Amino acid sequence: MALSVDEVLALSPDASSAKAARGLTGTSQWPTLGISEVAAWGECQGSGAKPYQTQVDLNGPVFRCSCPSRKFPCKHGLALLLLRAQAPSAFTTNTPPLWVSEWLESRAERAQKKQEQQAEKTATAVDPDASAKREAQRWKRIQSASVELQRWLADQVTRGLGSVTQESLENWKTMAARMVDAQAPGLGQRILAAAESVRTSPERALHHLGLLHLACEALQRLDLLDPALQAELRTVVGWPFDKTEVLAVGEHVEDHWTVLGVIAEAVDAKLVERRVWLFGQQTGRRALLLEHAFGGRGFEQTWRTGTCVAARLAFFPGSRKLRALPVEITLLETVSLALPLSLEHEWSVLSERAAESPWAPLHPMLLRDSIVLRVGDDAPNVRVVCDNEALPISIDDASFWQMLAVTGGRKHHIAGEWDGECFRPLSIWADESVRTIWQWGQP
Amino acid sequence: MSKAQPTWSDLIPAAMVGTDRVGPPINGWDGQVGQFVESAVQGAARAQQLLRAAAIVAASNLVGAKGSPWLGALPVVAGADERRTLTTPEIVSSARFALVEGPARLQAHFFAACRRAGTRIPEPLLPASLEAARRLVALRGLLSPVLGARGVWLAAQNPGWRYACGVSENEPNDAQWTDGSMEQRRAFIRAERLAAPASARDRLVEALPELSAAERADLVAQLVIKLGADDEVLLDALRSDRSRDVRSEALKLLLQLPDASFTQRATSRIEGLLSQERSLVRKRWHIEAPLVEDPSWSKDNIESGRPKNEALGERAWWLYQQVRLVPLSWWSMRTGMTASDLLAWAAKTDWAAALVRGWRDVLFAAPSVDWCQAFLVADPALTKGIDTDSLVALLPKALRDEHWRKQLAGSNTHQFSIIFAQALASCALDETMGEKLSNSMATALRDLATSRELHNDYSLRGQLAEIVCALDADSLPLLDPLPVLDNESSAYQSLRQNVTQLISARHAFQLI
Repeated sequence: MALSVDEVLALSPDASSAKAARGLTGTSQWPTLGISEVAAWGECQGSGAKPYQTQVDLNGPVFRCSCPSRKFPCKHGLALLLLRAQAPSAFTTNTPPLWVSEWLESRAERAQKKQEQQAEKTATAVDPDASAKREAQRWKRIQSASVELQRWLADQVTRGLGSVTQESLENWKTMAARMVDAQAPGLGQRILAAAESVRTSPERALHHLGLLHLACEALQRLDLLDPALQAELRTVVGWPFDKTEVLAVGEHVEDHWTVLGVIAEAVDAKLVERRVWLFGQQTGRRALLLEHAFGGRGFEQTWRTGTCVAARLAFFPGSRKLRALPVEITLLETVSLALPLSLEHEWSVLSERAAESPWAPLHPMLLRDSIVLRVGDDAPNVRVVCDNEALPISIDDASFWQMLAVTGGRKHHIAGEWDGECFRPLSIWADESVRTIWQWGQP
Repeated sequence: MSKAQPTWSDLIPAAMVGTDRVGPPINGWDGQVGQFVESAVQGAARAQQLLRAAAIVAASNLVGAKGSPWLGALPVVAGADERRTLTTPEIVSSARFALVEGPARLQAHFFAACRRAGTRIPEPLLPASLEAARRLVALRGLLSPVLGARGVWLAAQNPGWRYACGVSENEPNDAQWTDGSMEQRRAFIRAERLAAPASARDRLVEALPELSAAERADLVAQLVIKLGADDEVLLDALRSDRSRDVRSEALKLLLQLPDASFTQRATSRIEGLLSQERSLVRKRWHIEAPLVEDPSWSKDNIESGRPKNEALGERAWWLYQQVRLVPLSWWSMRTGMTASDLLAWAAKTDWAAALVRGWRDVLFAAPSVDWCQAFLVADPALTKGIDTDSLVALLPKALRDEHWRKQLAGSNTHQFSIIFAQALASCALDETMGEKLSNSMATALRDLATSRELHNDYSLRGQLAEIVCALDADSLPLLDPLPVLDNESSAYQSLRQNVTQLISARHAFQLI
C-alpha cells in the first residue's frame, strides 16, 4: 500500500527534514526515477557533480542514500516517497539498476543470515547450570542494592523532603548511579524521576518513592513470589529480556491488531523511544510495542495509526502482560475497531492491570463517544468527557486546537495513554466509518 | 471523625518535615485501603511506615483511577456545513506548508483560491488558518468567507481568534449582518451597497449608535461603493462624529462629491485665495494663505490652532487644511493646468509645502491617475517624505506594472532589491503582478542566480519567497528550479528548495 504524503512526512526525523524533503519534490531535480514491486529509487541532483543515489525498500519502508546526512531517513529518501505519492507517473523505469539490486540482495542476505544466527543460537545448547548461576549472581547483586536503596529511602523521609536542596539532589543522582552499577538501571531511573519532582510536586515524588520502596521489599522476598511477578520485577529493575527469550517463553497471541496510536518521544539528545499501542479485535488484548532508536537512526518497522494487521505477538514475561514483540505481520485492507462497553469497563481493565503491576507507567485506553472540550477562558484547562466523567488531557496547545477543529464538539472515539494522572490522546476515530480523523504528531 | 481512605495530603506533612519530627498517620480510617495501611505498617519504624503507606496510596490511586464527575453542560456542537471541502492530499499538503511555513502572500493565494472554488478550509487546517490571520489583519477578509461553520465555531473557542466569530455562511444573509464577525458585516454591507445603495445606507445609519469607533470608520468607508448625492446628508452628519477616524472617512468620501455643499464651501474658500496676475504678456496664477482665522472654519473641520510639533507655519497650516478638502479635479478645471503643471507652479509659490501636502492627502483619499503620475515624476525635493511605492499602489495594475518594468530596465543589478521591495509593497496581498512585469522580474532573478549575485545577496534572498508568490503563474517555470551552483552554501541550497516548494504550492492552489 503506497504511503500518502502525510504518512511519508510522519516518518521524518524532524520538521526541518520534512521541509527540506518537500523542497526536493520537483521532478526536474531527479534525473532518474524508478520503481518496482519491492523498491523505489532515484538519483537526486545535489550541489556536487555526482547525483545522490537514493533508494527505499518499500516493504519497510527502509531507506538508503549516498548523501552524507546523518539523519535517518534523509531528506532525499523522504522526497523520493513524497514523489511516489504525488507524481507516480514520474517513475519511468521499473528495472532496478545495479546499485539498487545489489542493496536489495545484500538486505535479503543479511536477513537470512540473521535468521540462521537466531536459529543457531536457539539450537546451541546453553549450559543451564552456568546460566542459572549467572542469573542468581545478578539477582543477588540487585537484592543487596535494593537493601541499600531501602535504607537510603528511609533516610530521605526521616530527614524530610522539605530539606532537599539543589545541592543535595546530587546525592540522589549518586544513588541512581549506584543502582546502574548494581545492574538495576530501572531503579536508578525511578530515583531520577522522583528527584525531578521532589522540589515541585511532593505528591509525585512520594508516589515514586513509595513504589521504589515497594519494589525493594518485593526484591527481598523474590523467592516467595510467583514467576510472573518475578519477571515483572526484572522489568522494573531494568534487566531486559532478549528477543529469543521472549519468543521462547512469552505468551503468543494471534489476532487482528488495530493500531490505536504511535508516539515517538526523545528520551534524551540521542535516544528516541517509540510506543505503538495495539488492540486485538478478537481477543480484546492490548499490546505495547516499545522500541528505542539511537543517534538519529530510524525504526526498522513502520507502524501507522488507524491501520490493522493480522499478526502473532509474543508478550514479554511479567504480570502487566502489555509489552510484546511482533511476529509474522500482514497488513489488512480493512480496519475494524471493537469498542469497549463503557468507560467503567476501561477503568476496570486498567485497574486489574495496575493491581498486577503498579509499576507500569502507562496504560492504553479507548474512550468511546467522548467529547474534547476546554474549560475556562482565563486559565483554560482541557478535558475529555466520556460517560459523564472528565479526564484531564496532557497535550500541547497546537494539537489540542487541531483535535477541537476535527471533532467540532461532537462525540468521537478517542484512543490514548493514561499515566495515572492525565490522558494523552493519540488518535481520534470517526464514528460513522472506521478511520482516524486525527493522530498524535500529525503535521 | 474518621476518614475513609488515606490520601497524599495525609502523608505529605510527615514526608516534608521528616519522620524524625512527625510520625505518619497510620490509623483512623474506615475504608479497606486505610485498614490495609494500618495492618501493613504495624511494628515498622516511622520511615518504613511512611514509605509503605505511600506505596499503598500510589498503587490504590492507580487501581482506583477515575475521572472527575462532569456536571457542566456540554459545549454547543458546530453546525453542519453543506459546502464541499478540500480532500486532494497534494493540495491539503501544500496548504499546510503555506500556513505553517509559507509567506502571507501564499496564505492569501490559498484563501482566495478556496473562495473562488466555493470550498471551505479543511478542518485540520483551521487552527493554522485562524492563527495566520490573527497575526496578520490583512488576511482576515480573505479568510472569513472560507472558514465554514466549523471555522466560525472554532474561532469562538479561542479568545485570540474571536475576530473571526460570526455566523456560518449557511446562515440566512441577514444573520451575517446582525450576528456576523466584522469581516462578515463588511462583506455584507459591500454586497448590499452594490445591489441597493440606499438600503445599505439606511442599515448603516440604524446600526451606527451601537458600533465602536473602529467599526464605524470601517463600515462608513464602504459607502465608497456606488457613492452618490443621496449619501451627502449622512456624510455631512458624520463630519462631526466623536471619532477622528470616522470624521476623516467622511471627509474623504465628500471629496468625491463635488456638488456637495460642504465641498462647494471648501472650493469657494480656495477660490478666494487664488488669483490671476498679469506678468508681461502672460497671466500667472497666484495663491495666498489666509491672513486671519475665520470662526466659521471649525464647523467645516478646519482647526485654527496649529498643533505643537507642526512643521508648517500658522498660515500654511490653515491653507493646507483648506486644500485637503478640495477635489483635485477642481484645480485643473479652475486653472487649466495639468497635475504636473500645478506641481511645478506650486514649487514656485511661497506655499509649496502646504499645497503639496494638501494635494497628497486628497490623492490618497480619492486617487487620480494623472496626479499619481505627476507626483512620481515631480522634483524629489517637492515630494520628499512621500513613499514611491504607496503612490504606485494607487495606479491601476497595468500602469503600476509598467512603472516597475521601466524602473527595472533602467537600473543596475544592485538596485534590483530596492525595486523588488517597492514593487511588492504596491501589490496587494492576494494579487499577482502582470505577465510582462512578472517575466521581467523572473528573468532578472534567474540571471542574478546564475551570476551568483543571488547566492551572495542576503537581502535579495530574503525577498525571494514573497516575490515568487507575487509573480504571475506563467512566469514561474523560469525559476523552477533555480540553477544549481558550484560550491553553493547550505543557505542557497535551502533557498532553492524553498522556491520549488512555493511554486509547487502555487500550482496546487490553481487546481482548487
